Amino acid sequence: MSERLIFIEPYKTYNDLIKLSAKVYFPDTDFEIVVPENRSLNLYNHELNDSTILLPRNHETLTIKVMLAWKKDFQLSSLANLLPDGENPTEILSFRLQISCEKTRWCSEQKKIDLSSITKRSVFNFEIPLIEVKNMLKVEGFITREIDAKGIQLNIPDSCLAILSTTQELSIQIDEIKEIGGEYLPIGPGNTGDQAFEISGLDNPFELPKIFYSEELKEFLTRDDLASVNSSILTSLFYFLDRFLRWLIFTCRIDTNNKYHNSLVDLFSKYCEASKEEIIYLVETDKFCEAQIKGYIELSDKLFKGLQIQNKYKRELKNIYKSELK
Amino acid sequence: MKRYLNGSDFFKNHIAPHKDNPLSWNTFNTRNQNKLIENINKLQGISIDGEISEDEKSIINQIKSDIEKLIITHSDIKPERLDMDLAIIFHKNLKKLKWGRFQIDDFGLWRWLSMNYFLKETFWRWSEDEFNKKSFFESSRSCYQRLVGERNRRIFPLWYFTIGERLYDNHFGYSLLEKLAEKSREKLVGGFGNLNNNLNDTKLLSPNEHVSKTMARVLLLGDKTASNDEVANAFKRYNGFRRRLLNYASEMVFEKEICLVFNKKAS
Repeated sequence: MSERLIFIEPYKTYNDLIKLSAKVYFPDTDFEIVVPENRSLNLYNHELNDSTILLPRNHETLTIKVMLAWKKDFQLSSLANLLPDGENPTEILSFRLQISCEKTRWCSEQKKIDLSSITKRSVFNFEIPLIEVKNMLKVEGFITREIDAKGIQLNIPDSCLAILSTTQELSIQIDEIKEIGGEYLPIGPGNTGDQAFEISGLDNPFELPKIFYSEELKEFLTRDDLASVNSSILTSLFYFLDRFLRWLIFTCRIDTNNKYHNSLVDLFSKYCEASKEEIIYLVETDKFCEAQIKGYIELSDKLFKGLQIQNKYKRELKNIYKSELK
Repeated sequence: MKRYLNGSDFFKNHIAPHKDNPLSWNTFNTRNQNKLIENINKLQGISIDGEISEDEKSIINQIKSDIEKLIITHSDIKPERLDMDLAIIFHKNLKKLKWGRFQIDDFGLWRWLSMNYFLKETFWRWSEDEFNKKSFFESSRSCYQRLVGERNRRIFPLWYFTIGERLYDNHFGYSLLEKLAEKSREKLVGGFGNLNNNLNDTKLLSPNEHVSKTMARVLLLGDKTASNDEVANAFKRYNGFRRRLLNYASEMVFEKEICLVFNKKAS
Protein backbone atom coordinates (compact mmCIF):
# COMPACT_ATOMS: atom_id res chain seq x y z
CA MET A 1 0.00 0.00 0.00
CA SER A 2 1.47 3.33 -0.93
CA GLU A 3 1.14 6.65 0.81
CA ARG A 4 -0.10 9.58 -1.18
CA LEU A 5 -0.24 13.24 -0.39
CA ILE A 6 -3.55 14.84 -1.22
CA PHE A 7 -3.04 18.51 -1.94
CA ILE A 8 -5.97 20.57 -0.75
CA GLU A 9 -6.33 23.89 -2.54
CA PRO A 10 -6.97 26.67 -0.04
CA TYR A 11 -9.22 28.39 -2.55
CA LYS A 12 -10.58 28.09 -6.08
CA THR A 13 -8.20 28.81 -8.96
CA TYR A 14 -8.59 28.81 -12.74
CA ASN A 15 -5.28 27.84 -14.24
CA ASP A 16 -4.09 28.06 -17.81
CA LEU A 17 -6.30 30.96 -18.90
CA ILE A 18 -3.60 32.85 -20.74
CA LYS A 19 -1.45 31.20 -23.36
CA LEU A 20 2.19 32.17 -23.50
CA SER A 21 4.16 32.00 -26.71
CA ALA A 22 7.63 33.29 -27.36
CA LYS A 23 10.32 34.03 -29.90
CA VAL A 24 14.01 34.14 -29.17
CA TYR A 25 16.56 36.51 -30.72
CA PHE A 26 20.28 37.03 -30.33
CA PRO A 27 21.72 40.52 -30.87
CA ASP A 28 23.57 41.03 -34.17
CA THR A 29 21.83 38.12 -35.81
CA ASP A 30 18.95 38.17 -38.19
CA PHE A 31 17.18 34.98 -37.19
CA GLU A 32 14.37 34.38 -34.79
CA ILE A 33 13.54 31.07 -33.21
CA VAL A 34 9.99 30.32 -32.19
CA VAL A 35 9.28 28.26 -29.07
CA PRO A 36 7.36 25.28 -30.47
CA GLU A 37 3.84 24.25 -29.52
CA ASN A 38 5.11 21.77 -26.90
CA ARG A 39 6.39 24.86 -24.99
CA SER A 40 9.96 23.59 -24.86
CA LEU A 41 12.84 24.96 -26.93
CA ASN A 42 16.35 23.58 -26.92
CA LEU A 43 18.79 26.24 -28.13
CA TYR A 44 21.90 24.20 -27.42
CA ASN A 45 23.36 23.10 -30.76
CA HIS A 46 20.13 24.28 -32.39
CA GLU A 47 20.27 23.84 -36.15
CA LEU A 48 19.36 27.05 -37.99
CA ASN A 49 17.61 27.20 -41.37
CA ASP A 50 20.94 27.59 -43.17
CA SER A 51 22.20 24.40 -41.44
CA THR A 52 24.61 26.27 -39.18
CA ILE A 53 24.66 25.27 -35.55
CA LEU A 54 23.75 27.82 -32.91
CA LEU A 55 25.95 28.09 -29.83
CA PRO A 56 24.13 30.33 -27.33
CA ARG A 57 27.28 30.80 -25.24
CA ASN A 58 28.91 32.70 -28.11
CA HIS A 59 26.51 35.54 -27.31
CA GLU A 60 26.31 37.81 -24.28
CA THR A 61 22.58 38.38 -24.21
CA LEU A 62 19.44 36.75 -25.41
CA THR A 63 16.18 38.55 -26.12
CA ILE A 64 12.94 36.74 -25.46
CA LYS A 65 9.75 38.24 -26.84
CA VAL A 66 6.77 36.88 -24.98
CA MET A 67 3.31 37.09 -26.51
CA LEU A 68 0.12 36.70 -24.50
CA ALA A 69 -3.33 35.60 -25.59
CA TRP A 70 -6.45 34.61 -23.71
CA LYS A 71 -7.42 31.01 -24.28
CA LYS A 72 -10.29 30.48 -26.73
CA ASP A 73 -13.81 31.00 -25.39
CA PHE A 74 -12.54 32.54 -22.18
CA GLN A 75 -14.24 35.65 -20.90
CA LEU A 76 -12.64 38.08 -18.51
CA SER A 77 -15.85 38.27 -16.51
CA SER A 78 -15.43 34.59 -15.52
CA LEU A 79 -12.68 35.68 -13.15
CA ALA A 80 -15.37 37.42 -11.11
CA ASN A 81 -16.13 33.95 -9.68
CA LEU A 82 -12.77 34.09 -7.92
CA LEU A 83 -13.48 37.47 -6.34
CA PRO A 84 -15.80 38.60 -3.55
CA ASP A 85 -19.12 40.02 -4.75
CA GLY A 86 -18.91 43.48 -6.22
CA GLU A 87 -15.24 43.41 -7.15
CA ASN A 88 -14.24 44.06 -10.76
CA PRO A 89 -11.52 41.72 -12.13
CA THR A 90 -9.88 44.42 -14.24
CA GLU A 91 -9.50 46.69 -11.23
CA ILE A 92 -8.46 44.10 -8.67
CA LEU A 93 -6.32 41.68 -10.68
CA SER A 94 -3.15 41.94 -12.72
CA PHE A 95 -1.05 39.63 -14.79
CA ARG A 96 2.59 39.24 -13.76
CA LEU A 97 5.16 37.83 -16.11
CA GLN A 98 8.73 36.78 -15.32
CA ILE A 99 11.60 34.66 -16.56
CA SER A 100 13.80 32.80 -14.12
CA CYS A 101 16.64 30.30 -13.95
CA GLU A 102 16.47 27.84 -11.08
CA LYS A 103 20.04 26.71 -11.51
CA THR A 104 21.59 30.12 -10.85
CA ARG A 105 18.59 31.53 -8.96
CA TRP A 106 18.36 34.50 -11.30
CA CYS A 107 15.03 36.16 -11.96
CA SER A 108 14.20 38.81 -14.54
CA GLU A 109 12.31 41.98 -13.80
CA GLN A 110 8.63 41.24 -13.21
CA LYS A 111 6.25 42.84 -15.70
CA LYS A 112 2.90 43.84 -14.26
CA ILE A 113 0.23 43.96 -16.96
CA ASP A 114 -3.40 45.13 -16.87
CA LEU A 115 -5.74 42.29 -17.73
CA SER A 116 -7.67 44.55 -20.09
CA SER A 117 -4.55 45.21 -22.13
CA ILE A 118 -3.89 41.56 -22.90
CA THR A 119 -4.54 41.00 -26.59
CA LYS A 120 -2.96 38.89 -29.28
CA ARG A 121 -0.77 41.88 -30.07
CA SER A 122 0.65 42.15 -26.55
CA VAL A 123 4.39 41.59 -26.76
CA PHE A 124 6.82 41.88 -23.87
CA ASN A 125 10.58 41.90 -24.28
CA PHE A 126 13.07 40.46 -21.84
CA GLU A 127 16.83 40.89 -22.19
CA ILE A 128 18.56 37.94 -20.59
CA PRO A 129 22.24 38.38 -19.61
CA LEU A 130 23.67 34.94 -20.35
CA ILE A 131 26.37 35.28 -17.67
CA GLU A 132 23.58 35.16 -15.07
CA VAL A 133 21.86 31.99 -16.26
CA LYS A 134 22.66 28.37 -16.92
CA ASN A 135 21.00 25.26 -18.38
CA MET A 136 17.34 26.23 -18.52
CA LEU A 137 15.14 29.32 -18.48
CA LYS A 138 11.52 29.27 -17.40
CA VAL A 139 8.92 31.76 -18.65
CA GLU A 140 5.87 31.91 -16.42
CA GLY A 141 2.90 34.13 -15.71
CA PHE A 142 0.46 34.59 -12.85
CA ILE A 143 -2.83 36.37 -12.37
CA THR A 144 -2.68 37.91 -8.90
CA ARG A 145 -4.85 39.99 -6.60
CA GLU A 146 -3.31 43.40 -6.17
CA ILE A 147 -5.07 44.52 -2.98
CA ASP A 148 -6.42 42.80 0.13
CA ALA A 149 -10.14 42.02 0.06
CA LYS A 150 -12.50 43.46 2.63
CA GLY A 151 -13.67 40.68 4.92
CA ILE A 152 -12.94 36.99 4.55
CA GLN A 153 -14.83 34.59 2.30
CA LEU A 154 -14.50 30.85 2.12
CA ASN A 155 -12.87 29.48 -1.05
CA ILE A 156 -12.04 32.97 -2.29
CA PRO A 157 -8.50 34.32 -2.16
CA ASP A 158 -8.50 37.51 -0.16
CA SER A 159 -4.85 38.45 0.32
CA CYS A 160 -2.83 40.82 -1.76
CA LEU A 161 -0.64 38.89 -4.26
CA ALA A 162 -2.65 35.67 -3.94
CA ILE A 163 -2.25 33.68 -7.17
CA LEU A 164 -5.60 33.06 -8.88
CA SER A 165 -4.23 31.53 -12.03
CA THR A 166 -0.93 30.29 -13.39
CA THR A 167 0.03 29.80 -17.01
CA GLN A 168 1.64 26.74 -18.47
CA GLU A 169 5.32 27.63 -18.42
CA LEU A 170 7.66 27.79 -21.40
CA SER A 171 11.12 26.32 -21.05
CA ILE A 172 14.18 27.39 -23.03
CA GLN A 173 17.30 25.27 -22.74
CA ILE A 174 20.54 27.14 -23.40
CA ASP A 175 23.25 24.68 -22.36
CA GLU A 176 23.94 21.03 -22.76
CA ILE A 177 22.44 19.27 -19.77
CA LYS A 178 24.49 16.22 -19.02
CA GLU A 179 22.27 13.32 -18.09
CA ILE A 180 25.17 10.93 -17.67
CA GLY A 181 27.41 11.98 -14.85
CA GLY A 182 25.24 15.03 -14.40
CA GLU A 183 22.21 15.51 -12.26
CA TYR A 184 20.23 12.41 -12.98
CA LEU A 185 22.15 9.22 -13.51
CA PRO A 186 24.98 8.71 -11.05
CA ILE A 187 28.05 7.32 -12.80
CA GLY A 188 31.63 6.88 -11.71
CA PRO A 189 34.66 4.62 -11.86
CA GLY A 190 34.69 1.45 -9.79
CA ASN A 191 35.73 -2.17 -9.60
CA THR A 192 33.63 -3.84 -12.26
CA GLY A 193 35.71 -7.04 -12.61
CA ASP A 194 35.64 -8.30 -16.19
CA GLN A 195 32.78 -6.01 -17.11
CA ALA A 196 33.14 -2.58 -18.68
CA PHE A 197 30.00 -1.32 -16.92
CA GLU A 198 28.02 -2.42 -13.91
CA ILE A 199 24.88 -1.06 -12.31
CA SER A 200 24.74 -1.55 -8.55
CA GLY A 201 22.02 -0.90 -6.01
CA LEU A 202 19.15 -2.13 -8.17
CA ASP A 203 17.51 -3.80 -5.16
CA ASN A 204 17.51 -0.69 -3.00
CA PRO A 205 14.03 0.88 -3.21
CA PHE A 206 15.11 4.25 -1.77
CA GLU A 207 18.42 5.25 -3.33
CA LEU A 208 19.11 5.60 -7.02
CA PRO A 209 21.24 2.79 -8.46
CA LYS A 210 24.73 3.77 -9.52
CA ILE A 211 26.49 3.04 -12.80
CA PHE A 212 30.13 2.07 -12.50
CA TYR A 213 32.63 1.86 -15.31
CA SER A 214 35.89 0.00 -15.07
CA GLU A 215 38.80 1.91 -13.50
CA GLU A 216 40.80 0.85 -16.56
CA LEU A 217 38.49 2.93 -18.76
CA LYS A 218 38.55 6.01 -16.57
CA GLU A 219 41.27 7.87 -18.45
CA PHE A 220 39.20 7.57 -21.65
CA LEU A 221 35.68 7.99 -20.38
CA THR A 222 36.44 11.22 -18.51
CA ARG A 223 37.54 12.89 -21.74
CA ASP A 224 35.07 14.75 -23.88
CA ASP A 225 37.11 14.88 -27.08
CA LEU A 226 36.98 11.25 -28.16
CA ALA A 227 34.40 10.34 -30.77
CA SER A 228 34.51 6.67 -29.76
CA VAL A 229 33.68 7.60 -26.14
CA ASN A 230 30.76 9.73 -27.24
CA SER A 231 29.37 6.99 -29.46
CA SER A 232 29.72 4.30 -26.80
CA ILE A 233 27.95 6.50 -24.24
CA LEU A 234 25.20 7.31 -26.74
CA THR A 235 24.50 3.66 -27.41
CA SER A 236 24.87 2.51 -23.79
CA LEU A 237 22.40 5.15 -22.71
CA PHE A 238 19.48 3.15 -24.14
CA TYR A 239 20.15 0.29 -21.73
CA PHE A 240 21.07 2.48 -18.75
CA LEU A 241 17.93 4.57 -19.00
CA ASP A 242 15.69 1.60 -19.61
CA ARG A 243 17.19 -0.15 -16.57
CA PHE A 244 16.63 2.95 -14.45
CA LEU A 245 13.06 3.12 -15.73
CA ARG A 246 12.54 -0.50 -14.66
CA TRP A 247 14.02 0.29 -11.25
CA LEU A 248 11.81 3.35 -10.86
CA ILE A 249 8.62 1.51 -11.73
CA PHE A 250 9.16 -1.91 -10.17
CA THR A 251 11.54 -1.32 -7.25
CA CYS A 252 11.49 2.30 -6.15
CA ARG A 253 9.40 3.37 -3.14
CA ILE A 254 8.97 6.85 -4.45
CA ASP A 255 9.30 9.86 -2.18
CA THR A 256 8.11 13.00 -3.94
CA ASN A 257 10.23 15.11 -1.60
CA ASN A 258 13.39 13.31 -2.71
CA LYS A 259 15.18 15.45 -5.31
CA TYR A 260 16.85 12.44 -6.91
CA HIS A 261 13.55 10.63 -7.36
CA ASN A 262 12.02 13.82 -8.76
CA SER A 263 14.92 14.33 -11.17
CA LEU A 264 14.48 10.81 -12.49
CA VAL A 265 10.75 11.32 -12.94
CA ASP A 266 11.48 14.61 -14.74
CA LEU A 267 13.92 12.83 -17.01
CA PHE A 268 11.45 10.13 -18.04
CA SER A 269 8.67 12.66 -18.33
CA LYS A 270 10.81 14.50 -20.88
CA TYR A 271 11.86 11.49 -22.94
CA CYS A 272 8.68 9.42 -22.69
CA GLU A 273 6.37 12.37 -23.30
CA ALA A 274 4.32 11.43 -20.26
CA SER A 275 3.29 13.77 -17.47
CA LYS A 276 5.06 13.49 -14.12
CA GLU A 277 1.73 12.64 -12.52
CA GLU A 278 1.22 9.70 -14.91
CA ILE A 279 4.67 8.32 -14.10
CA ILE A 280 4.25 8.73 -10.34
CA TYR A 281 0.84 7.05 -10.53
CA LEU A 282 2.40 4.11 -12.37
CA VAL A 283 5.20 3.83 -9.79
CA GLU A 284 2.70 3.88 -6.93
CA THR A 285 0.48 1.22 -8.51
CA ASP A 286 0.76 -2.30 -7.04
CA LYS A 287 4.14 -3.69 -7.98
CA PHE A 288 4.16 -6.01 -11.01
CA CYS A 289 0.41 -5.82 -11.53
CA GLU A 290 -0.71 -6.14 -15.14
CA ALA A 291 -1.38 -2.41 -15.52
CA GLN A 292 2.09 -1.58 -14.24
CA ILE A 293 3.83 -4.01 -16.57
CA LYS A 294 1.80 -2.72 -19.51
CA GLY A 295 2.59 0.88 -18.50
CA TYR A 296 6.31 0.08 -18.36
CA ILE A 297 6.31 -1.46 -21.84
CA GLU A 298 4.58 1.59 -23.27
CA LEU A 299 7.00 3.98 -21.57
CA SER A 300 9.99 1.90 -22.60
CA ASP A 301 8.94 2.10 -26.26
CA LYS A 302 8.42 5.84 -25.99
CA LEU A 303 11.79 6.19 -24.27
CA PHE A 304 13.55 4.50 -27.17
CA LYS A 305 12.04 6.99 -29.61
CA GLY A 306 12.12 10.07 -27.35
CA LEU A 307 15.78 9.65 -26.43
CA GLN A 308 16.79 9.56 -30.08
CA ILE A 309 14.62 12.39 -31.25
CA GLN A 310 15.11 14.83 -28.37
CA ASN A 311 18.88 14.32 -28.27
CA LYS A 312 19.13 14.40 -32.08
CA TYR A 313 20.87 11.03 -32.10
CA LYS A 314 20.83 10.70 -35.86
CA ARG A 315 22.71 13.96 -36.30
CA GLU A 316 25.10 13.25 -33.44
CA LEU A 317 26.01 9.80 -34.78
CA LYS A 318 26.39 11.16 -38.30
CA ASN A 319 28.83 13.79 -37.00
CA ILE A 320 30.80 11.15 -35.11
CA TYR A 321 31.05 8.92 -38.19
CA LYS A 322 32.03 11.89 -40.34
CA SER A 323 34.74 12.96 -37.89
CA GLU A 324 36.23 9.47 -38.03
CA LEU A 325 36.34 9.56 -41.83
CA LYS A 326 38.35 12.80 -41.70
CA MET B 1 40.92 28.89 -13.13
CA LYS B 2 41.72 25.33 -12.18
CA ARG B 3 39.11 22.93 -10.89
CA TYR B 4 38.97 19.52 -9.25
CA LEU B 5 37.14 16.98 -11.36
CA ASN B 6 36.68 14.82 -8.25
CA GLY B 7 33.47 15.37 -6.35
CA SER B 8 32.82 15.78 -2.63
CA ASP B 9 32.60 11.99 -2.10
CA PHE B 10 36.17 11.56 -3.28
CA PHE B 11 37.49 14.01 -0.70
CA LYS B 12 35.22 12.61 1.99
CA ASN B 13 36.67 9.15 1.42
CA HIS B 14 40.27 10.33 1.37
CA ILE B 15 40.68 13.24 3.72
CA ALA B 16 37.67 13.76 5.98
CA PRO B 17 38.84 13.97 9.61
CA HIS B 18 38.38 11.00 11.90
CA LYS B 19 37.70 11.09 15.61
CA ASP B 20 40.69 8.90 16.45
CA ASN B 21 43.16 11.30 14.84
CA PRO B 22 41.47 14.69 14.84
CA LEU B 23 44.50 16.94 14.55
CA SER B 24 45.24 15.73 11.08
CA TRP B 25 42.87 14.74 8.32
CA ASN B 26 43.97 11.19 7.93
CA THR B 27 47.69 11.72 7.34
CA PHE B 28 47.51 15.39 6.46
CA ASN B 29 48.90 18.22 8.47
CA THR B 30 45.97 20.57 8.22
CA ARG B 31 47.63 23.67 9.56
CA ASN B 32 50.09 23.96 6.70
CA GLN B 33 48.69 25.01 3.31
CA ASN B 34 51.62 23.81 1.21
CA LYS B 35 51.80 20.48 2.98
CA LEU B 36 48.08 19.94 2.58
CA ILE B 37 48.19 20.61 -1.17
CA GLU B 38 51.32 18.52 -1.60
CA ASN B 39 49.56 15.59 0.03
CA ILE B 40 46.32 16.07 -1.85
CA ASN B 41 48.18 16.19 -5.15
CA LYS B 42 49.64 12.79 -4.32
CA LEU B 43 46.22 11.18 -3.81
CA GLN B 44 45.52 8.34 -6.18
CA GLY B 45 42.78 9.39 -8.58
CA ILE B 46 43.01 13.13 -7.97
CA SER B 47 42.09 14.92 -11.16
CA ILE B 48 42.61 18.62 -11.89
CA ASP B 49 41.59 20.51 -15.01
CA GLY B 50 42.33 24.02 -16.35
CA GLU B 51 44.93 26.67 -15.70
CA ILE B 52 45.14 29.64 -13.39
CA SER B 53 45.84 33.01 -15.04
CA GLU B 54 48.02 35.82 -13.70
CA ASP B 55 44.91 37.99 -13.24
CA GLU B 56 43.30 35.30 -11.13
CA LYS B 57 46.41 34.89 -9.00
CA SER B 58 46.56 38.63 -8.42
CA ILE B 59 42.89 38.79 -7.37
CA ILE B 60 43.34 35.86 -4.98
CA ASN B 61 46.31 37.61 -3.39
CA GLN B 62 44.23 40.77 -3.07
CA ILE B 63 41.47 38.82 -1.30
CA LYS B 64 43.98 37.28 1.10
CA SER B 65 45.51 40.66 1.82
CA ASP B 66 42.05 42.26 2.38
CA ILE B 67 41.13 39.48 4.83
CA GLU B 68 44.40 39.94 6.68
CA LYS B 69 43.69 43.69 7.05
CA LEU B 70 40.17 42.90 8.26
CA ILE B 71 41.49 40.53 10.93
CA ILE B 72 44.00 43.11 12.15
CA THR B 73 41.53 46.01 12.11
CA HIS B 74 38.89 44.06 14.02
CA SER B 75 41.06 41.84 16.15
CA ASP B 76 38.71 42.34 19.12
CA ILE B 77 35.66 41.08 17.21
CA LYS B 78 34.73 37.41 16.89
CA PRO B 79 35.22 36.07 13.34
CA GLU B 80 31.52 35.14 12.95
CA ARG B 81 30.61 38.83 13.32
CA LEU B 82 32.72 39.61 10.23
CA ASP B 83 30.87 37.43 7.69
CA MET B 84 29.33 40.41 5.89
CA ASP B 85 32.77 42.00 5.57
CA LEU B 86 34.09 38.76 4.11
CA ALA B 87 31.18 38.68 1.65
CA ILE B 88 32.11 42.17 0.43
CA ILE B 89 35.78 41.22 0.08
CA PHE B 90 35.12 38.04 -1.93
CA HIS B 91 32.38 39.53 -4.09
CA LYS B 92 34.10 42.83 -4.87
CA ASN B 93 37.33 41.12 -5.91
CA LEU B 94 35.92 38.17 -7.83
CA LYS B 95 33.62 40.50 -9.76
CA LYS B 96 36.79 42.03 -11.20
CA LEU B 97 37.30 38.68 -12.92
CA LYS B 98 33.74 39.05 -14.26
CA TRP B 99 32.57 36.09 -12.22
CA GLY B 100 28.84 35.81 -11.80
CA ARG B 101 26.09 33.32 -11.23
CA PHE B 102 27.31 31.23 -14.14
CA GLN B 103 30.27 30.14 -11.99
CA ILE B 104 28.27 29.50 -8.83
CA ASP B 105 27.50 25.83 -9.44
CA ASP B 106 31.00 24.98 -10.71
CA PHE B 107 31.81 23.39 -7.38
CA GLY B 108 35.08 21.83 -8.56
CA LEU B 109 36.41 25.31 -9.29
CA TRP B 110 35.40 26.69 -5.89
CA ARG B 111 36.79 23.63 -4.11
CA TRP B 112 40.16 23.99 -5.83
CA LEU B 113 40.27 27.71 -5.04
CA SER B 114 39.32 27.10 -1.43
CA MET B 115 41.67 24.19 -0.74
CA ASN B 116 44.65 25.74 -2.50
CA TYR B 117 44.49 29.23 -0.99
CA PHE B 118 42.21 29.59 2.00
CA LEU B 119 43.18 27.06 4.66
CA LYS B 120 44.44 29.72 7.10
CA GLU B 121 41.34 31.89 6.65
CA THR B 122 38.93 28.97 6.96
CA PHE B 123 40.64 27.82 10.12
CA TRP B 124 40.47 31.34 11.59
CA ARG B 125 36.75 31.77 10.77
CA TRP B 126 35.35 28.30 11.42
CA SER B 127 37.74 26.30 13.58
CA GLU B 128 40.04 28.35 15.75
CA ASP B 129 37.52 28.88 18.51
CA GLU B 130 36.89 25.15 18.94
CA PHE B 131 40.59 24.43 18.60
CA ASN B 132 41.34 26.83 21.47
CA LYS B 133 38.71 25.03 23.53
CA LYS B 134 40.58 21.80 22.76
CA SER B 135 37.59 20.37 20.85
CA PHE B 136 39.99 19.07 18.24
CA PHE B 137 37.68 16.79 16.31
CA GLU B 138 34.93 19.43 16.05
CA SER B 139 37.53 21.98 15.00
CA SER B 140 38.96 19.73 12.27
CA ARG B 141 35.51 18.75 11.09
CA SER B 142 34.24 22.30 10.71
CA CYS B 143 37.44 23.32 8.93
CA TYR B 144 37.06 20.37 6.54
CA GLN B 145 33.36 21.03 6.01
CA ARG B 146 34.00 24.63 4.98
CA LEU B 147 37.33 24.31 3.20
CA VAL B 148 36.47 21.23 1.13
CA GLY B 149 32.72 21.68 1.26
CA GLU B 150 30.97 18.60 2.56
CA ARG B 151 27.90 20.46 1.29
CA ASN B 152 28.92 22.07 -1.98
CA ARG B 153 27.33 25.44 -1.38
CA ARG B 154 29.27 25.85 1.86
CA ILE B 155 32.73 25.88 0.28
CA PHE B 156 34.48 28.83 1.95
CA PRO B 157 34.87 31.36 -0.92
CA LEU B 158 31.64 30.30 -2.64
CA TRP B 159 29.56 30.83 0.50
CA TYR B 160 30.69 34.43 0.79
CA PHE B 161 30.50 35.13 -2.94
CA THR B 162 26.88 33.93 -2.96
CA ILE B 163 25.97 36.25 -0.08
CA GLY B 164 27.54 39.05 -2.10
CA GLU B 165 25.51 38.12 -5.20
CA ARG B 166 22.30 38.12 -3.15
CA LEU B 167 22.80 41.50 -1.50
CA TYR B 168 24.85 43.53 -4.00
CA ASP B 169 22.78 46.04 -5.94
CA ASN B 170 23.63 47.46 -9.36
CA HIS B 171 22.32 50.85 -8.30
CA PHE B 172 23.26 51.07 -4.62
CA GLY B 173 26.42 48.95 -4.79
CA TYR B 174 27.53 47.48 -1.48
CA SER B 175 25.60 49.90 0.77
CA LEU B 176 23.23 47.22 2.15
CA LEU B 177 26.11 44.82 2.81
CA GLU B 178 28.12 47.59 4.44
CA LYS B 179 25.22 48.51 6.75
CA LEU B 180 24.75 44.85 7.68
CA ALA B 181 28.49 44.47 8.24
CA GLU B 182 28.52 47.48 10.54
CA LYS B 183 25.52 46.25 12.50
CA SER B 184 26.89 42.73 12.74
CA ARG B 185 30.18 44.03 14.14
CA GLU B 186 28.37 46.18 16.71
CA LYS B 187 25.91 43.59 17.96
CA LEU B 188 26.64 40.57 20.05
CA VAL B 189 23.39 38.91 19.02
CA GLY B 190 21.21 38.76 15.93
CA GLY B 191 20.29 36.33 13.22
CA PHE B 192 23.09 37.13 10.79
CA GLY B 193 24.17 33.47 10.73
CA ASN B 194 20.73 32.20 9.73
CA LEU B 195 20.34 34.99 7.20
CA ASN B 196 23.56 33.88 5.51
CA ASN B 197 22.54 30.21 5.64
CA ASN B 198 19.22 30.99 3.96
CA LEU B 199 20.81 33.23 1.34
CA ASN B 200 22.88 30.21 0.36
CA ASP B 201 20.50 27.32 0.86
CA THR B 202 17.12 28.58 -0.35
CA LYS B 203 16.14 29.46 -3.90
CA LEU B 204 14.43 32.82 -3.23
CA LEU B 205 13.86 33.51 -6.93
CA SER B 206 13.03 37.19 -7.16
CA PRO B 207 13.72 40.12 -9.48
CA ASN B 208 16.96 41.87 -8.58
CA GLU B 209 17.14 39.71 -5.42
CA HIS B 210 14.23 41.67 -4.00
CA VAL B 211 13.37 39.02 -1.39
CA SER B 212 16.92 38.60 -0.08
CA LYS B 213 17.48 42.35 0.19
CA THR B 214 14.09 43.19 1.68
CA MET B 215 14.26 40.44 4.28
CA ALA B 216 17.81 41.35 5.25
CA ARG B 217 16.77 45.00 5.65
CA VAL B 218 13.56 44.34 7.56
CA LEU B 219 14.97 41.64 9.84
CA LEU B 220 18.36 43.04 10.68
CA LEU B 221 18.48 46.76 9.98
CA GLY B 222 15.31 47.86 11.78
CA ASP B 223 15.00 49.19 15.33
CA LYS B 224 14.95 45.65 16.64
CA THR B 225 17.44 43.13 15.34
CA ALA B 226 15.80 39.77 14.69
CA SER B 227 17.22 36.78 16.52
CA ASN B 228 18.48 33.65 14.77
CA ASP B 229 15.12 31.91 15.42
CA GLU B 230 13.13 34.87 14.14
CA VAL B 231 15.18 34.92 10.95
CA ALA B 232 14.73 31.16 10.45
CA ASN B 233 10.97 31.46 11.02
CA ALA B 234 10.71 34.35 8.59
CA PHE B 235 12.25 32.27 5.80
CA LYS B 236 10.00 29.31 6.68
CA ARG B 237 7.00 31.61 6.48
CA TYR B 238 8.13 32.98 3.11
CA ASN B 239 8.56 29.47 1.72
CA GLY B 240 5.16 28.48 3.12
CA PHE B 241 3.25 31.05 1.04
CA ARG B 242 3.14 28.90 -2.08
CA ARG B 243 -0.11 30.29 -3.33
CA ARG B 244 1.08 33.87 -3.25
CA LEU B 245 3.54 35.59 -5.52
CA LEU B 246 5.55 37.39 -2.89
CA ASN B 247 8.79 37.67 -4.81
CA TYR B 248 8.17 41.32 -5.60
CA ALA B 249 5.99 42.21 -2.62
CA SER B 250 6.31 45.56 -0.88
CA GLU B 251 8.38 46.01 2.25
CA MET B 252 5.13 46.43 4.19
CA VAL B 253 3.95 42.93 3.21
CA PHE B 254 7.26 41.52 4.40
CA GLU B 255 7.03 43.45 7.67
CA LYS B 256 3.43 42.48 8.40
CA GLU B 257 3.28 38.92 7.12
CA ILE B 258 6.73 37.41 6.81
CA CYS B 259 9.21 38.93 9.19
CA LEU B 260 6.96 39.74 12.15
CA VAL B 261 9.78 41.04 14.31
CA PHE B 262 8.14 44.42 14.64
CA ASN B 263 4.66 43.02 15.26
CA LYS B 264 6.00 41.13 18.22
CA LYS B 265 7.53 44.28 19.62
CA ALA B 266 4.30 46.23 19.20
CA SER B 267 2.27 43.62 21.09
